[in-house]
Amino acid sequence: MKHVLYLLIIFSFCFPLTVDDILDKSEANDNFKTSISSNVEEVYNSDGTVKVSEMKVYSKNGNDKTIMEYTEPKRIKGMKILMLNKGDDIWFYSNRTNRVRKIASHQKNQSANNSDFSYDDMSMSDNRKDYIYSITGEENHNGSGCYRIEFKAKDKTVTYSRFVIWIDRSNYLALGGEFFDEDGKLWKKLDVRDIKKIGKYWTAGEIEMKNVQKDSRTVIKTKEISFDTDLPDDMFTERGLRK
Amino acid sequence: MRKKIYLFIADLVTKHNKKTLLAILFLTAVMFYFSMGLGIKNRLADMLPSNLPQVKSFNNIIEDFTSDAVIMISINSASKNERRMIEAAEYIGGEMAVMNHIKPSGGQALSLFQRWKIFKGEYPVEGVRYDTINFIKRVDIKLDTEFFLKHGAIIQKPKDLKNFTDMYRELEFKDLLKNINSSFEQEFVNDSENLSSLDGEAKAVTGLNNVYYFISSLNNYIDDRDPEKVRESVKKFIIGDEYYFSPDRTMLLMELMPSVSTDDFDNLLIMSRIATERMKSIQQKFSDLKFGLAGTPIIGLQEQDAVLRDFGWTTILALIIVMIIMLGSFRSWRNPFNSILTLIVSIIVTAGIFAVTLQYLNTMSAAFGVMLVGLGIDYAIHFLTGYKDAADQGDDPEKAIKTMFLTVGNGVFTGAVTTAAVFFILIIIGFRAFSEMGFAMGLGITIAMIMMFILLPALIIRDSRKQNKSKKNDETRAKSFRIKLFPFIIGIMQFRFMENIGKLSKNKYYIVFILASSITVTVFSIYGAYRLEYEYDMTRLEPKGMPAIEAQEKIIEKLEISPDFAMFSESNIDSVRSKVAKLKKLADRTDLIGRIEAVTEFFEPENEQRKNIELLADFRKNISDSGSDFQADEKNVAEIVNELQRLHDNFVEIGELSIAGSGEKNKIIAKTDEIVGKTDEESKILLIKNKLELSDNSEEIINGFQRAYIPELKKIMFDITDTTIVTYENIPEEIRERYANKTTGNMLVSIYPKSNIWEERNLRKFYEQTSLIDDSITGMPIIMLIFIDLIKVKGMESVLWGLLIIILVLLVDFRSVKYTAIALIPLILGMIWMLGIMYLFGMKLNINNFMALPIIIGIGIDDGVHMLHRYKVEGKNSMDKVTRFTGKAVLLTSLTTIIGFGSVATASHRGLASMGLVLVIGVSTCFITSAFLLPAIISLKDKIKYKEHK
Repeated sequence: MKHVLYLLIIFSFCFPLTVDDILDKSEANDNFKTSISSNVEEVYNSDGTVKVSEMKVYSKNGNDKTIMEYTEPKRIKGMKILMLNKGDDIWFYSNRTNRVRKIASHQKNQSANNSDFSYDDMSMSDNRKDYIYSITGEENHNGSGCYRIEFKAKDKTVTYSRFVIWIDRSNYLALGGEFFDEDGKLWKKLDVRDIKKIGKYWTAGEIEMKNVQKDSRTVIKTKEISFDTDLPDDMFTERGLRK
Repeated sequence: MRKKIYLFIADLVTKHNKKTLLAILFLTAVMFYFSMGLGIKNRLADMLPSNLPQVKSFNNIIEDFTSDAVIMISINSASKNERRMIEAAEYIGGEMAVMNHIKPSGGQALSLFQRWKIFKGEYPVEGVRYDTINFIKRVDIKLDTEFFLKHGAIIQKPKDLKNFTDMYRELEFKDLLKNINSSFEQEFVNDSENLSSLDGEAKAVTGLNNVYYFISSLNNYIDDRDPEKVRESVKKFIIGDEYYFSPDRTMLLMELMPSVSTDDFDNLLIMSRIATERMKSIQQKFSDLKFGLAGTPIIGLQEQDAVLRDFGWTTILALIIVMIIMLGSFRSWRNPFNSILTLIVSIIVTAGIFAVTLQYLNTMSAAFGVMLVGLGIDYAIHFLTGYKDAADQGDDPEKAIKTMFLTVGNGVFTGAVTTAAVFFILIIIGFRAFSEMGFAMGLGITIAMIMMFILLPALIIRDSRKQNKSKKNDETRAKSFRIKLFPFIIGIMQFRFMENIGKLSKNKYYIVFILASSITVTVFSIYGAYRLEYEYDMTRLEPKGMPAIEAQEKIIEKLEISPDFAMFSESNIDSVRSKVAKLKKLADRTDLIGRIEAVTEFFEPENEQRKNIELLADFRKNISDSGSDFQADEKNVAEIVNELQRLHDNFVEIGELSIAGSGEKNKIIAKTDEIVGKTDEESKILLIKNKLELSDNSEEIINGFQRAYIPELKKIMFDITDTTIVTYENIPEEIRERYANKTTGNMLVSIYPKSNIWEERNLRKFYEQTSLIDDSITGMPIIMLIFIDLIKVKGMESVLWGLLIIILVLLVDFRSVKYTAIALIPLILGMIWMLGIMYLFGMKLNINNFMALPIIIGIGIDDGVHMLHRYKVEGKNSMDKVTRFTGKAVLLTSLTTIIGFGSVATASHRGLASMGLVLVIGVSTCFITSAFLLPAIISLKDKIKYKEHK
């Protein structure tokens, strides 16, 4: 038994994790079947004003299918955004007109609810197909040992020309990131806080995105979250939005 | 050496009194004559390094385009009475278009007499040539629709033109409505990126407004069957609002473009005053509307008026109180009067020297008179105190003058030299604003000191000789001081308690207490000083409730543009286009920019326009061939009703999507709320739909409506689709001259910020981002920012250099490190305590109170120097004498300064008020340290030295 253990240890040194391995493990954190969360979004504008909205988020198959339903403020209560295929397809539902409209795919680059997160950010779309990526180091980030992974855009159609993320070595959760615009200037900074395990899934209690150029920031706080409850597939359809 | 000089001066003023006075009178007269030629340059740009790209750019733009600021006039109607607002705008435009002003031509050699007459306001003055200038270059009330009615199609982007032609290819109402809906869905709902960009937002608001205007003409037609109104609505349907309304239609904005720049401050003030007066009478004519005036020119005027109002009665009251104190302290009105006279002579002589050397003062150095009064009066008080003490000891006037010099002469000399040196050192700082002010103040203090040494004693001697001759005056004076109240007041004004402070300072327990308290206060003050905040919002330094600021805030709230803007110029159209594109991208990303104005906004590049020709030619043919006489049936009406429902839904969704993209505070939701409300019951479109549906003869209505609008729409469509390529060369002259200089060919780009640009952090962000696109970006807000930054940086340098020079001068004067250190205590600790107190009371540093520092440095160092010099004269263990005589003078100088600047602290201009308050606090803390702490330290030193000798 002992020598099997020694072999495993030696094996791990001979075959360190690749960047794809790390990203796979990171994405595995999102491999829940379903999740339902209640979130509060605070947008701190550059003029000092704060805008607060609340939403419920339903996700299935990791974040392959997501519905965001606004519950506050009253003005947009009932408004829903459906994102399929990790944000490649986005629909918008108006509670008042009871109509569903598809939004153009480049819309996902736009700010969601005037926050510092774009729809693309929120959908956590698969970046590997649009970026060239590699591990550029191992360092401490917010007190945790992390892998530093850098992504460079393959072409100009994506939101960021490059970005860097720090992935915790112990639980493979992304703890932070820096995002750069098409001119290579620092645009946004992501900070992930209040990490906890709920059931078998690691999750962040608080995520902050700071827009360095606009001098604003958005904080999304998860009030409550549950995983793997039953969510029917037809909920994530145009018809489902109207229900 | 100094003693010899003092005695020489004493002899001069006593033995050659008349000659001395005559000589000074002659000098004053000559200098007065020269001083009449002294000018004031208000140009902020002149105080900045001339090689800065922003300054060069600013000067070039002023030369090419004359003006760098606008006056915005907002016309407000709570009841949204658009017709009335338009009527008011047209009326105001007529009233403001010509604003002639007659002024003497520049460069004339005028006599004193002519200048005096001009100053008095006489016109015309014989022998003076005059120019007439029209203060208003242009009045912008509405859009030039003629250009757009002819070229509105060709100048669009190909993608936008496709949408346009799709929308209007069918003229029959049911089809037109269907195409409008499809276009909205395509452009704004499906591709809602268009809602959050700068251009997209503007287009969406215009589109929503235009369509609604057209639909509401159907509503009007249902009510009154007037085809004329329908025809009138068609132009607006295509071109949009001619007038610049806010999305909620409660405000109409117009602009006056002055022909004078913000740097020509005098003329700008005159222009602003005329505009304000005219608006007051226009307000009476349109009492149902509310007008607001905003922009830098108006702010400048209202600021000046507030300052003049403030300094009226408060200054007089302060002067009266100061006179009472001096009267009581010196038991004479003559000598205080002589000190004021000496100061006035100092100011005149200084001004005369400036006229010959500098020729012009700038905005900062022009305040030398006020600062000189504040500092110079202290020298007079010290001398008068010394003189009175000597006279009270039994000296005759001539001996008292000598004693005065010997006891306080060194203090005055060192104090003045130190303060002058602090100002003179500013010359080497390399910031024009400071170097000119430094030269002005340094020279002024030097002259004031010289006059205090020569003229003041000469006047004292003259008066004492006059008094001896006239015994009657003595009796009258004696009588008046017999009134019961006077001895009481005079008793207090002798400040005899100061002697007790000196006596106390010899007590070891008192020394320990003072030192311990001082250390504690210093520690807390350092803590507070580090946490002291800076006031970034310059509008918070203005008087509260200033109408121009309120008007500005309302304009920003309703229209999301600031009246004050940045600008740059380019000589090449392609560069303009490329930079404008970058600015729009910046606008979309950062929310910094509200509006961009440039000549390139009037047409796309030629190659892009060429892409439109074929489409336009087809469209034109299609329009020509299409019929005009359509007959609606029941089925058509049902389709129209459905399309109106669809239109309502599109409006709702566009509004909601705009919230999703840009938050609740955006122009699109303001517009959609106005039209479709927050619930269906409030929707004006559904109202029209229901009206049509419930109407008995809806087919007839539709037919009549179509007969009214179709021919007009056809005509406009034909005209607007002219295929002539629009270039820079063939755009109308009125448009080109707004944005380009005919001679130099330079083209102006104006960038209006979205938020309050006078909040320093907004301004800094705006500047940082826009300067990456063009580093010569300029404008009054940017010039002001550079100025503030330089003041902060150079201000700190000045303080450090000032401290260094003070130390050097004191070392030379006292020839002792120990005494130098002791003399610095009131200044350094005084300033630290001042910062601590500011923190304690929640005060913030700002650009105004920062300017108080040089005065506090001057006063603070004077206090310590005087006390120490007197101590050196009186000898060891003489603190009671030091505080009795010099301490009293220090108290008196501090009191007069506190009262004088205390009046400023009551100003409605919050920036000036904070400057006055900081001065009061600073002078008070410097006094406390010099009156209480300094004696304790000196007494402690004496005790230690005594023990050593033992």
